[in-house]
Amino acid sequence: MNWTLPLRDAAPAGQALVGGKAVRLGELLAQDFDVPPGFVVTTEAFVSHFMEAGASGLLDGEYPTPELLTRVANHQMNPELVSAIRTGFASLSDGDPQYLCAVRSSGADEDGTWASFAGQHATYYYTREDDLETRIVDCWLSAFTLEARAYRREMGLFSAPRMAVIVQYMLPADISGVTFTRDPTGQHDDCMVIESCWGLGAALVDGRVSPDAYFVSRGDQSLRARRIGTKRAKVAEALLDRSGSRLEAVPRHLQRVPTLDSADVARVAALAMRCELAFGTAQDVEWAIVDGRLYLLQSRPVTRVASVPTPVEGRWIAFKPVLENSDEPFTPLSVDLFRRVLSPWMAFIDGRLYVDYDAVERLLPSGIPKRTLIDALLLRDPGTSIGMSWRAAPKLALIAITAYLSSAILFARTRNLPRAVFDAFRARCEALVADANLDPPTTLRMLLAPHRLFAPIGELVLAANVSAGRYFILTGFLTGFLERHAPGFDAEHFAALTVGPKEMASREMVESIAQLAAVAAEKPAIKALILANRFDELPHQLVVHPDAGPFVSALEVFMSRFGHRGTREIEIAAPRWREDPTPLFAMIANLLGETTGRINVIEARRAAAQAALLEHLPSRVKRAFVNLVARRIRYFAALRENTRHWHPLAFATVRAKILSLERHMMVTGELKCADDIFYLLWDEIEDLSAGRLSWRHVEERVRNRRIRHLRRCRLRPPLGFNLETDDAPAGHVRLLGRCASPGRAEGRARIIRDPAADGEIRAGDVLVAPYTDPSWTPLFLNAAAIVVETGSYLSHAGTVARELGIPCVVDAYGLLDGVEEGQRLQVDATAGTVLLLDPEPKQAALTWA
Amino acid sequence: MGVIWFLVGIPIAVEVIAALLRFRDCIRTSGLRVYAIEGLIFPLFALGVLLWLASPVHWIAIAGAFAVVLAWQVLVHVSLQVALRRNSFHSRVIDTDQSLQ
Repeated sequence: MNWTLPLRDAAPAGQALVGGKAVRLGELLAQDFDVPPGFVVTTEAFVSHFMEAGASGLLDGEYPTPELLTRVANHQMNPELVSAIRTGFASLSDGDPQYLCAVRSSGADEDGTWASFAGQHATYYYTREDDLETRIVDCWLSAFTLEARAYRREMGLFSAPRMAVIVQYMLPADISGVTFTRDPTGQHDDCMVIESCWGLGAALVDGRVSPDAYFVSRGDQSLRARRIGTKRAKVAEALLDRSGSRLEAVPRHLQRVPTLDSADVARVAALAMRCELAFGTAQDVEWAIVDGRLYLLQSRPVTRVASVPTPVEGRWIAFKPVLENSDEPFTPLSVDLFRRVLSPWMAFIDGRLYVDYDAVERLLPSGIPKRTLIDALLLRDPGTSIGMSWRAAPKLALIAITAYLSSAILFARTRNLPRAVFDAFRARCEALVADANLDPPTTLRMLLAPHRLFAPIGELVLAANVSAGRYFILTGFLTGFLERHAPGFDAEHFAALTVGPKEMASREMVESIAQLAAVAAEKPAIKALILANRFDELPHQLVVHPDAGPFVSALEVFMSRFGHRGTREIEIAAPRWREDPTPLFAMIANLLGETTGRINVIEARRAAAQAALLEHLPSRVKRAFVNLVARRIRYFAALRENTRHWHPLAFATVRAKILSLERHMMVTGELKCADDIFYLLWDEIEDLSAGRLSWRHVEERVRNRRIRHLRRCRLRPPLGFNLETDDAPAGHVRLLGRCASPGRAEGRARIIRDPAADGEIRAGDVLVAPYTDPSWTPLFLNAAAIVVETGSYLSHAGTVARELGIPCVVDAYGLLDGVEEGQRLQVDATAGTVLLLDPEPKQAALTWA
Repeated sequence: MGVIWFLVGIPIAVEVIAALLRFRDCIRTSGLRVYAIEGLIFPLFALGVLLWLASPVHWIAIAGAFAVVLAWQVLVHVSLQVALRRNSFHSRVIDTDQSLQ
């Protein structure tokens, strides 16, 4: 009987005996491709084992009951088969007992041109000789999982499965990736797509890491475009601890480094094209690089092409207050939790939040032009006054009365509040965390919605934040007043006049980080440690360093106030500074270099604005009125920023509960990998906890959701569905946006997509970003100007830029496609324009779903 | 005439209720008593003037204004709580990419 075969001899043996994957690898080996050596345990061994175990019914399509599967798993393997496997292993290992191999399934009907079984069957890495037989049986059993059977049915495969297993040298991959010789989305037929990550490619295939993407011309194989991902994790090299996390963090300094240089890209592209030529059709090629040597791991036809998106019914417009804080889609668990507390007028479309435009239009009086309403909902200045007919007056009056009765008490309550009242929110969050009976959805509901009539305002930070938005109306009013009575009073003085008081949380956070930098600078050894840019190791180094005392104390004080903050803090899956302080260290390092000392000029700017007001508005009464309104604007701007400081604590509280649950589920084996919980829905988590579902039921769902999430992350969010939202890509030379903080500046573009990964900016650079949230604030200190793709006057970028007197342009759509790193920019924020001073012909912007 | 007192009473009721709540919010935070009292004086003064100007007959209209404002708050709050607890108040989830469902 043919128990095993060398991989090199697999192709002639045929797919029925060695499975599709082994046949293809055998063909590649025969054509001198650099494939790691291995051998195949044939389907005859599979059949023999099942028959000997008394589970022959499974070979005839019988339902795989747990009893049958357990019988197969526990059956002692035939000694002859064991001997053949050990002989095969010895031929690979040359007797090295530490030799590690990968055990990969190779189904008899796998890797056909229409059924790839990608991810359906098991693969085991870093397997030692002692575990070989167990892993081989596990591979066999993976043909009978719920997902694999569903996939077979979907593909029209009604025969019982036959499974061979490949045992192959375990490559200690430095870099791995997948190459599609044709874009699987069909968007760019003339391009190959290469995706790569650090370490093993399993993280990439499972959607656990955001890979680098390279778009290579199929013709001359030139690099057309690349998109560097933030590769925060890789597959851990020691997978022997089965209860542990299967991922480990990539050192921060490597996260945004391209995995491939141009020579590597050319080699990988050439390898993929060779595979396509060998098989005659577009290929999906898996490869790995070890010590500079490129290996081929798999080549199969491209079977999965992204489906045409399902049209969205109705008209939807982006919910800008969330979008301008993060344009990335929410993870499935965040969506599932948030949707339970959000209005039915809202929807998560592909993980991003939208408002039902039709419902808003129905609610409002007729007569408001569509363009004006769209601009208002996108928090843009409509530019024109809203004409209203008398016929709309009754409806308008009804709306006004309802709105007044519903919100007037709240607005009056927040009209003049000391900041300290909001400290109550921390106590409430701590109480909810301590209450083990509260689940995350209830916790979120209790934190975001008023839980009792006339609850203390300190517990209603979201409502208080919304009420503070009235400063936008006051700003509009004051602008109009000054244009009429003091036409010479310019926009920059106006911004200085209305910036918030010193007691603003965002400003204090910046100052606190600057103080941390100052404390670090006092000790040269600590400064050197921080500037060494090894932030992952820094916490451990600080613990043992004799000079670290003052800095560690200052850091603890900072964390007690701001530890709940972090990047993308609305996203419950995003880590907070308390959990991962590396972004904070990057900001401190940034401030240890060159700084602009911008914090100290705010008071001087305000004094200059007062002098200008005196000059342009001689009337004492009018000046007093202007100052009165400006004081109100400053108060509400501060209220908005200060309440915004507390929102992330609500999300951090819910996150703490989820992480606690995750730890428990990891220990009990209900979850296998850190962060997977964020790709489950709450009902599924409850079912897992209650034993109604097991990990194998949800593993494939998690994988698919991760892949879908990654695809969505790569897409620019549309501002509207079935609406003309005026978000056309920017031009090549001149970008048009909107003014959020007036002024002019010139400098080199510093593109920052993720402050957690690339948080350095030199003094005088122009910060170019997709959006900003408060965690970006310390980067502002060194920026000559800020340009963001999504934002508004009320957005964090606008508010803090006005505080610091930095020119800021928001809503510059197409910005990140139009601007290159290091390109010289001239920003005229007052006019809302960005001029590309050294424009280079940039290749057509590529997007990839 | 009662309607006018009722209509004038509504914003006064809003201000007085808000001022009382603000007073409670502030007084709970130590060291803010002065702050809290300052916020209370004007609405109570306005209410006093209103009651002084109105005749005892119209006090019922003013009381009605208070009742309406409070009742509306209770109605909105209870509706929201019921909707949230019954999970009937939630937004939709739409996926345009069905290939990986």
